[in-house]
Amino acid sequence: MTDNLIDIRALKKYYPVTGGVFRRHVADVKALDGVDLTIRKGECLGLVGESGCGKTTLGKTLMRLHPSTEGRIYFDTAGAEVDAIEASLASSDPAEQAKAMARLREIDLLSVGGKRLLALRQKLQVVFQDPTNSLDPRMLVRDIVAEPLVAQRLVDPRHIPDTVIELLGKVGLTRDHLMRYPHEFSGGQRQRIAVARALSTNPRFILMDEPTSALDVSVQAQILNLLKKLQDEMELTYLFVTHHLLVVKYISNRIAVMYLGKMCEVGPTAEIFASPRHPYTRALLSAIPVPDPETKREKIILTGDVPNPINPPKGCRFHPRCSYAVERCRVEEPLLEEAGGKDRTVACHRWKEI
Amino acid sequence: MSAQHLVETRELATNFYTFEGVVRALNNVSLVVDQGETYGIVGESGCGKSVTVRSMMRIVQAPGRIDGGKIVMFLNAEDKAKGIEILGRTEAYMASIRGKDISMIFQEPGAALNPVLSVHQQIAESYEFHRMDEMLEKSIATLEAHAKELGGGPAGWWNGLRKSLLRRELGAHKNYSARIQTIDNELYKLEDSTDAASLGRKRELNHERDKPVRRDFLVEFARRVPFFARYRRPLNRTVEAQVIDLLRSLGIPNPENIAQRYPHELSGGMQQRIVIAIALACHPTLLIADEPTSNLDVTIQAQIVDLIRDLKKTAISSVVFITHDLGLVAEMCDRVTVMYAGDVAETATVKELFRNPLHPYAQGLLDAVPKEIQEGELTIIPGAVPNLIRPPSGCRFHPRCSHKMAICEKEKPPTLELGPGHFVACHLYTKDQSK
Repeated sequence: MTDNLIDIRALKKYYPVTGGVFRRHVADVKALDGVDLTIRKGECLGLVGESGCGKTTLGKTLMRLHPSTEGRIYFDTAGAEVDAIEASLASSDPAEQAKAMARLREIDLLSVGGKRLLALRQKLQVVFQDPTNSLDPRMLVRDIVAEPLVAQRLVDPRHIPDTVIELLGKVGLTRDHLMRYPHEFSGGQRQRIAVARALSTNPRFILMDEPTSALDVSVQAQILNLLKKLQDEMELTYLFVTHHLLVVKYISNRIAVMYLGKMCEVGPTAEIFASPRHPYTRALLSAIPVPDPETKREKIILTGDVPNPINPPKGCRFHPRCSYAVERCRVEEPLLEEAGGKDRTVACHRWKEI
Repeated sequence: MSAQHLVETRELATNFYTFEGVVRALNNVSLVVDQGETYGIVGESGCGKSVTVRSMMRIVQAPGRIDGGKIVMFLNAEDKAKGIEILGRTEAYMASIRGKDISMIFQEPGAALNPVLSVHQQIAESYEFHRMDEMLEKSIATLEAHAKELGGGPAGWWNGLRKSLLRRELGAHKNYSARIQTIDNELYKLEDSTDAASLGRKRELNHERDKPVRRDFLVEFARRVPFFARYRRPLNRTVEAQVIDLLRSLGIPNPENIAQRYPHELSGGMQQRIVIAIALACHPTLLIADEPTSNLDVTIQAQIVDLIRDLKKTAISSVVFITHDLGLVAEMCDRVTVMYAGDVAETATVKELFRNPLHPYAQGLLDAVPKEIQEGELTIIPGAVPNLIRPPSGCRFHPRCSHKMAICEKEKPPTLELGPGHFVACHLYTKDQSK
């Protein structure tokens, strides 16, 4: 059994909405509403869902780019310890709870600070969607890639140029590119620079926030192959956020489907594509345009749009658009439960019937 | 297969005159869109897909200019053989066919809609511009039906006044349309003649064509005086009913409410539907969809694609569908053109292209997309799309091509028909022919 690298428990992120003359707090955008997710060592977990479902928020909260509202994230903590802390948090004994809280302040990714956080940041890196915006236009490639090394004081300053050249080599660039500015590169090359910067601290986990959405098809294939190769070579773990399902299918081992701040379904890629259990996953998968004119598939076309996350529907959040919804779905919120087969979970009341 | 052509571009060349240099965006593009088909144009960004269709509509933005070639439209049912050369036509003529015969859906619905006008106003514009006669006639008919109930008295008198004003407006409008019609017919006859007298006549006619609408004096007066301006209310009601009918037919829930809203109050999918509604208001013969779904989610994309496909069956004759998503092409289109850096690389029916791509770029593109069942690594096309200020010589794909030969650097490959309806522009096949 592979261990978990990241274990997200009951993560919530609310964005306050203010209104009125005094900018009073009137409502919350519930971007993440109790998300549980584990990311295993060495895997690539694909996170899919429509825009506004909280994919990017989850990523950014995980990187501590946004403060979270509630929840815990364990990074590289033994499963037994996670269970013990969770158990004591749930217990009614205040002493027990206080002990757990104290321990959390040391290991919880969401509450550590200072030097510990800096050390953790070295292990967690991110590649953003649009390399045009994520690279400083006034910095040379040499400085962009070296910046994390300088900030983390990982390498002797005298060796930084060599390290940078080595990093660029890993992503298919050469020393000729060192003294250039980002605007001199094409989209694919810029994304390579962003990847090189992410690799510079020798991380264990990289968050890929739609790394190929801004790229052309032929360049997308280059980047995807590069990411796969790097993962094998450097034993990286990816969280691959995207809305392009065929890309996820190509690159990830497991998939997590999100809808409106909640997890719908988590499971191995092949199994989810073969037999999706959640009605939303089914609709999502059937909506993919297949690049093959000979196969004609029955499409499930969902009606309506994603509801407003300020005021999500009661019960199952998907019920207004779901064709299988019954009375129970309107009232009771389904929890993630084991659903037939190894490590597959589904949050739906009726997955057995459909 | 003797399908009727609808739009034809011949050796179309569009350039953009920027500070860095001349961007040769289209390098003699020839395409034929037939009546009743869905025609796909695929390629990466910067390959000239959008510029091609913008040239067809003559809406290339400055600093762009159409520098050469011909665009022929076969819109007129009687003169199918000849068609209309639209590059020489006046701007007023273009305005009269845009939205009526050809319309376009743009990529970004948020940018395509006017943020300060309500949905109703934006759709109504199209009716008021292209179908004024019909709207006026309808309003007069409703007023007439109403007249009997009202009988005599002030209400009846007011009804009569409204009716006569609307009739005068209709009369003025019909006069104007008739004049335009005669000018257009004469221009059409003169199109191919080149002697000095007819060139002068052409210039005169074009000038006449560009003159603004001249309305009846009384109507002008009534429209400017607030109290009398109310005579147009029945017209507004007629247009409103049309707009709401149209929205309903596009499957928009609660159309009365949606019509009153402003674009920012609607979701992306709904905005795109409004853009489609504007495009379809006058039942165009050709609908150009420029990446209509690239900014939408998969499930919303499925809704929009489904909508366009349904409309294709009922309302419109042909669709030109631009996309970079090969999956969508496979689902939507009958025939496809693959473009690369301003060149047409390959044109074929969808099935033929996916089964047997001949151009190395088309092959590479098809292999670079993750499939449903993906075996092994994705094959890649090395390098990136070239800068079109200094495009590669000869075949523009040669720096990235794995089958590069000496000739590719020197000559632009001719387009050859290698199978029925399967056109390829690549030197790999020219060699075979010369043998």
